[in-house]
Amino acid sequence: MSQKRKPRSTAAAASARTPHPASAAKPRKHIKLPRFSSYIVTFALLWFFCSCYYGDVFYMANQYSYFAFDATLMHFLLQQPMGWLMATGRMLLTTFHYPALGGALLALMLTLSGRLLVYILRLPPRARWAGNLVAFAPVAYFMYLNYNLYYQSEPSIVFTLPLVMLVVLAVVALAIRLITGQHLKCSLRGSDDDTPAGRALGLVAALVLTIGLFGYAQAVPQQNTRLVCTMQRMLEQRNWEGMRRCGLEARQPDRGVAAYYALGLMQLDRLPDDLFAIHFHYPKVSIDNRAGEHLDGAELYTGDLNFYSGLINPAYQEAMTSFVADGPSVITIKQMALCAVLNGEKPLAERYFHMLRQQPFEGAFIEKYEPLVQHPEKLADYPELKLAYDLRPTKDSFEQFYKQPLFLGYYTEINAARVLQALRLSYAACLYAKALPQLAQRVAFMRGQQLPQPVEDALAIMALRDPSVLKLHPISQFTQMRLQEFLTRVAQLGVEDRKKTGEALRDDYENYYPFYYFFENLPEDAPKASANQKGGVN
Amino acid sequence: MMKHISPRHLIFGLLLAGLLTACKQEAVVPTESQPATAALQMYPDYRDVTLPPNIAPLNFMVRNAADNYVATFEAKGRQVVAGREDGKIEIDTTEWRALTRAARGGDIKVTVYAETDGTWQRYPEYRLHVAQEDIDPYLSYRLIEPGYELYRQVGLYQRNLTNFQVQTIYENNRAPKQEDNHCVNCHNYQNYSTSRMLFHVRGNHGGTILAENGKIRRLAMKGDSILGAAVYPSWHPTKNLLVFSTNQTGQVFHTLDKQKIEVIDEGSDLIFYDVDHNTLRNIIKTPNTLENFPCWSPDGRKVYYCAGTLPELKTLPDSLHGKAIVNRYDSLRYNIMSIDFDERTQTFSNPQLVVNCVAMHKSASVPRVSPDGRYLLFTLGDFGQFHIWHKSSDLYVKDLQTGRIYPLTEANSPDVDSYHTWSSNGRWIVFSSRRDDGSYTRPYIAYFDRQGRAHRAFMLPQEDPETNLLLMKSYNVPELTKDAVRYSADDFKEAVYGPDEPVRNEEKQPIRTEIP
Repeated sequence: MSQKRKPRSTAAAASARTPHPASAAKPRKHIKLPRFSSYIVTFALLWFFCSCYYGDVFYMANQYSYFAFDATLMHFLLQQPMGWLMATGRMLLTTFHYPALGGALLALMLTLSGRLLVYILRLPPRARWAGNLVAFAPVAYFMYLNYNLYYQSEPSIVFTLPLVMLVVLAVVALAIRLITGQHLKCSLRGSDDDTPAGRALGLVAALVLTIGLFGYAQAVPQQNTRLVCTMQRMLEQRNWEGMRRCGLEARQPDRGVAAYYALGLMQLDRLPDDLFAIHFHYPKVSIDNRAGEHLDGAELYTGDLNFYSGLINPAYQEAMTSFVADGPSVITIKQMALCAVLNGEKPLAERYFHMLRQQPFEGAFIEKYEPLVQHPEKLADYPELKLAYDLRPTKDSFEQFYKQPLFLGYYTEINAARVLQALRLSYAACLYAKALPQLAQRVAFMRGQQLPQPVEDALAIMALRDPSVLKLHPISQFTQMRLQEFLTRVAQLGVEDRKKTGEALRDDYENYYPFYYFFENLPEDAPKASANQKGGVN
Repeated sequence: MMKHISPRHLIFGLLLAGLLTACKQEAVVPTESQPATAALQMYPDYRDVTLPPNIAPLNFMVRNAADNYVATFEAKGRQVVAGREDGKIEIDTTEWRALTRAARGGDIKVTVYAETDGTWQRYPEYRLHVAQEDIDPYLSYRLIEPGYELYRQVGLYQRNLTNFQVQTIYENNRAPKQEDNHCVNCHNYQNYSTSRMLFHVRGNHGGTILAENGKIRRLAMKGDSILGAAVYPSWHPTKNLLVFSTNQTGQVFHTLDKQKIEVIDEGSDLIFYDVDHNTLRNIIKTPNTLENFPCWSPDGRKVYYCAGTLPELKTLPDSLHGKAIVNRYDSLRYNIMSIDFDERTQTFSNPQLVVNCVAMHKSASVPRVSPDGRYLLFTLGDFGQFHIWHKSSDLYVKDLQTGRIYPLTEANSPDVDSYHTWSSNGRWIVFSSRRDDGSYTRPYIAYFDRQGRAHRAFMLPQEDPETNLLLMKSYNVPELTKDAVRYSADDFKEAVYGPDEPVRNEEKQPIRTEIP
């Protein structure tokens, strides 16, 4: 329809009437682009990126947020400067419970902002592609923020930034309209002076910027953030295989990716066999909390690791700490509700479900888990909760007495268990912590049995110093020969530059425990404890 | 038809409809009803409690599923009716006040009705007993999440118990800012009056905030011979003198136990601060005995406190005390002791055992003497002193005339019942309880009759009865006062961010008597 209308712009009309020399010789077939095509494409690309590709990040931003229409529940936010704006952003963020819906809303706001900028700056048709910069810039910024988009940060920025941008541009546009009397021309049909070339440029710009976003998403920090969010969402969906595959997808996994990868393996009962299939050369993670302190980000996953490895109280504590520092969030309330369920604290669990009920779109979780409050005997219907319940320590202790590092709980200190799976967790923790004497103790009762390959590899390393280990656990010729071959290659390459040697051996020794033992997860790369608001007893 | 309705008409119509639905619908007592088949489920449960005549309306929620709800409150020929479709029974404050005044010393009969499919059901009526004596009108408390290591948004507030007004005494940083981050605790008043009051600030801008005679100061309660910061305070009933405990406190986290946290003192002594002379000194300083929770007697001649020890502490160097206490946390028990105070010489002497809790295999905290000096109210748990985390903790009383020790059975619950305060007339106690859900502490009010018996306690009423379900903070340290705090939150903020004043350390030989 719109293509049949005559252009009103004289310049454009003249341009259309004047034959080009080349086209006079051979008529060129123009691709006819609808007037609004560039905006539609911008919207569609942004929607696709924000919902389909990066949607899990925004979904988790919503999970780390909390919104209710009740002033008591929102007091923590409303009493802050600009609290109402953050609350509005959080309300809009709830749409990301369905990434397609949230993505559409975000893309719409950004596309409109781009259109308004074109109007305000009165850009000529060939420069109107620049409006896309405004539309795509916030998304790039969100990607730049990585974990800081939502973790111990204010997640409402996902919508407050586009909202403020849109409102400011709309006000400026309105002012221009009132002062100059120039029509906004912001209908979906586009401006009357649009030219096919201008539209084509807009399309190309949108495509290039989208490709740029996809490219940026492949950078290590951005990839890890996206994967962690995807894995956290898969954890909620109990998609353990998906978590495993995500872990393998990471080029250089950070501790978050490694944590959720291990959690997936634990649920698949593939620990410790597949644990070392990813690289444990952790990149530095840059996370700042709301108070501006730098964090190592361990709190991002320790709650989940503790919970699913049966350390219910420490998981609750982690959630409560997050609740105190950052205010309520959907993810912490869910965690606290499940902890209360497994602890048999019915009224407390009901309180958290009641609180969760005030947040839009969380009905499915409540519907699934709330019945457990009154019917704990149905726990067997929830295998992951049943496993967490069975993995509880056999006797009470203080968390401070447990031995670091944390790995699916602190299983390097556990010597008794209710289920066999706890033992496998314990192996994995010992392997991860490179605590070989403790590992040997734990496998002592498995004399004569087939040990998992990483355990056998670890014992082979131990036997280098203490051959008596071989008396308890005969190790296969293959294992010993492979270790000798590995050590020979290490000796050839030298260990002065451990990093370089590790790089040289990596491809040949993937998923090989001795390689991990000597070259990965090195103590010098361990995060240093950060100072925070810990103030003892309050 | 629709084309005749302009958008303007539509908006106006919607606004009008909104206004009409927003108008309060008058609750009407059903003319016909039949007895309900199910038991009444109400939150909070106010059935058969004794209440002060000046208390705010006891609003509640009916949790039985129905389409509409009505409740009637009747006494001395008066009737108050309230009801709503969402089950919230919110009573008009003016009508309630007239009713409770009329019912003083008598009962209010309450009947709850619920309508389902046009049929009204009537639940069994219950009674509210209205005491003769009022409660002090102001309750101060701290709001903080239940537990753990961090603090962010913490505040001290004061609630007018005769209505629902809440005044902020002091709030720490609202927005997260590391340099502003601090915690506030241990608010305390002299003899139920706010003319002299204090609270502590921990973390950044730390100190003791002391307000008197219109002046607020931030004091640095430190000294070379003082164990640590000033903690649990008690103001002399008439003189400008204070006693504090000074504690080295830590906490450890249970991995399996439902009590989740154990708060442990590795060391604690008692200290004395003379406000007028700005001098601070030790009262009791013992390396092997842990003294805590001092409290003046109403005549100002004694200080009651708790004292605990472990036998092995005597054989261990001080540096290993903390580890020993953590390892044997469930064996550490506190008795209640007293020391005499000579007002003329300002000296303390003669430590006496008041309640031998260890012999009972129990442990005491927070001794508080009734204003008439007859009853010693305290919390008793199985071990330790931080009973807010001990499900075994209950309120006990020692009749100081007869020596009888007994639990306040009617007021206690299976969950935590802890930190308590007397009203100035000695007829009411307010305490912290976790009976609601085992985690979030709520203030409960109980009548304490002339026979020394506590009546069934009731939860602090709220204008919206759902508030206590939605508020994700605990009420800490309830303290009753006769008047409202006279300083604004800004006044306190100015003092918190202002310079601190050092106190002078006075060298006077402290009591060094250990528990035998």
